[in-house]
Amino acid sequence: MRKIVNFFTKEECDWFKWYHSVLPETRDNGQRLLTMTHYAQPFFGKKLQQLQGRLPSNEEITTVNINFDYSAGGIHSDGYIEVEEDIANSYLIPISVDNIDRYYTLIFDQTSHKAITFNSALGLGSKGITTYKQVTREEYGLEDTPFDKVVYDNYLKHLNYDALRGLTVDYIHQWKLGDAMIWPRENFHVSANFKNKDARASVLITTRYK
Amino acid sequence: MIELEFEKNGSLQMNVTCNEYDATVKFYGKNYNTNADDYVIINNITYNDLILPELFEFTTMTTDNEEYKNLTNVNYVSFNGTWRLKFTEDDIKNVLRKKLT
Repeated sequence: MRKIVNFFTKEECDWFKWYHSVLPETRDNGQRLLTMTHYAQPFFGKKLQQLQGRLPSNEEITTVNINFDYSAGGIHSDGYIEVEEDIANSYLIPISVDNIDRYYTLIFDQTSHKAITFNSALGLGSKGITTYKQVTREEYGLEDTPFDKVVYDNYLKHLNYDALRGLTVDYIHQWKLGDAMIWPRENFHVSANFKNKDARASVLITTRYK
Repeated sequence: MIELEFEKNGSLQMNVTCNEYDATVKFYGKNYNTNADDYVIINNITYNDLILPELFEFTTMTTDNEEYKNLTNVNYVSFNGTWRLKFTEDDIKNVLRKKLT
């Protein structure tokens, strides 16, 4: 399953933006403003039940974050952080999009069960990183095959082309308000470059298998 | 926007009005001579899908009992009267800040 159309209604998209506005803590990770929803708190129980009810019955939620992106991201997997678990899927749901600009998220074939990132190797330093481990191309074992130049020119010019050697693209998601883009948490992924830095926001839900 | 969860025990009748940032419940019909033990418990307050019992701090009640004419922080109702909830968006922010920081 690649996508769930209308995972959120327009009203639900607006709800998450409102919820972000009343929460006390937002972190700036160098690429986005990130707000934890505290989904496991009793006060979020009604909303959690609504979200859980839209997911496959063999998955349970492990993260719900609200992200206001102002910069395109680096390449990473949303695997487990410390304790190994049976990771399932990432669900990225746009709650705010620009009417003119187009936003994309690229999913790679390569995987990591642990949450790791190539941000430093890509020239992004520690931007976008809070808890994920930085790895080099060599540590991960990427090959030297040149990256698809057309994909690079269309989507990833914010990154160093040579640093993408060995990566291959599985799928390219285009953002649509309220639609959930889905991929396995272990798959590396990256935000395509984008122009309008003020307009886009999303909710990220990650799950594990029960 | 505001949802109230009631547990009703006996003859007290209710007329509930909920708006964006306020709610009113008129309790009536209790006969203190024949139904002295009747009561209603307001079990919870939900605002915009967030379950926030802390909002009871923003409640008042006026009753027909001289000794308990004006009450605050009310979730147990045993008199005829009017229960009111009134808060602002800043109150919601403060409630969440207290819970999370």
